[in-house]
Amino acid sequence: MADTLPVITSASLNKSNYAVGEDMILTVTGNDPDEEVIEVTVALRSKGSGATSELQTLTATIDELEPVASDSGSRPWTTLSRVGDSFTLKATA
Amino acid sequence: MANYTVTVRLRNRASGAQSDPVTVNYGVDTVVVDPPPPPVVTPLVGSSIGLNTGETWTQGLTRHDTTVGPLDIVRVFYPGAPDPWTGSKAAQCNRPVVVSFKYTPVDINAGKYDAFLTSWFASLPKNTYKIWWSYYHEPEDNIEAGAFTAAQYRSAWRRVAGFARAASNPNLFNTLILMGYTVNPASGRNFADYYPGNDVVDVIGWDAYSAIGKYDSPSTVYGAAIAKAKAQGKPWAICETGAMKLSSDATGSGHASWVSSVRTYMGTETPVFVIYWNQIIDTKDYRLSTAPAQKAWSDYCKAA
Repeated sequence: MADTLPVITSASLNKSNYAVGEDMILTVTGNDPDEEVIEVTVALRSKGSGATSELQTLTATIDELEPVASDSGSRPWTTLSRVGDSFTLKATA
Repeated sequence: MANYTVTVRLRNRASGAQSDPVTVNYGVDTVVVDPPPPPVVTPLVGSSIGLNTGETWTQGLTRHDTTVGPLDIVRVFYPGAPDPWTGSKAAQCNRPVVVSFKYTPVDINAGKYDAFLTSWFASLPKNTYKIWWSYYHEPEDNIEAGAFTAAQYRSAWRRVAGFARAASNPNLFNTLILMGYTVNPASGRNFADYYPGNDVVDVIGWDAYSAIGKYDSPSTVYGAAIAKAKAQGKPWAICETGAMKLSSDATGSGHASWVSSVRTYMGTETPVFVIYWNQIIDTKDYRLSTAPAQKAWSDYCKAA
């Protein structure tokens, strides 16, 4: 399957004007159809006794998204969190 | 407020594919550091001493200190030669003074008083109080009357100033005193006619009054004179000022208000000193004769 491009559906700051030193919060919403979370479930089994461990489920993200921000004031933006399609970034005014 | 943008993309970690950029604008308050306020230059405030009949100089000085002072500075007039300093009216003031004296420019230019003035300036105290001296204050009317020429006046002023400079007294200031009316265009006068030169003038002094029959605004009384002094780049002072109490102003409250308006106006300017002419001249009574007016000037002195 051909790669598709990520899409940003919205991006907004928590305020329009800040005092010097104030935290700025940028919320970005978007997705990429290529991104997929998969689960892998495994168990260990003894060849000798045939005993089997409990199942363990692991997750992995294929084509994981990350936000990348550049600032005209050279402020560094760091990613605080991701919940679903919503990314939260922070910088200091 | 400074304006910025933040541009954000979503990027696929594996492929590096990126979304179209989205730009968001924001502003950050700029930190404005106010320049330090200019230093407050508090003028000395004082008056001339108008003596009552039979009153000695010391008695008159004390009365003025009591009624309109205490005076920070005193105006002392000599209609001719200045008295020898020791024991003089100026010395008895025991505080900063403005001292003026008069000789005809012809005599000065002829060198008739070179020795006396050299000695007199040398005798002035160097380590006590500031002394603003002036040669022949308000010469304009005399020049117009033909008593002497403007050129003679300027030449004489420069000669006298040379004796003052020779005293090497850091508390002695060469003060040219002219009429405020001279810088009124209606006078038809040219300031330059009376100005002996930036190199010999330390302070430009003005004698400026409210017109008879009204309490003129301070800007009307002093505005042009102050502007002229500033244009010369010189410190300036009010050597005489006053307003005649209006006959309709029985209590003197209007007179007091005028005094207060002068104080307020001068608070926004930077005079070296402000001196009230607290006397009668001819039949014109400029005295601070009522309690409100006296208190207003006294308060100004105390605030200085």
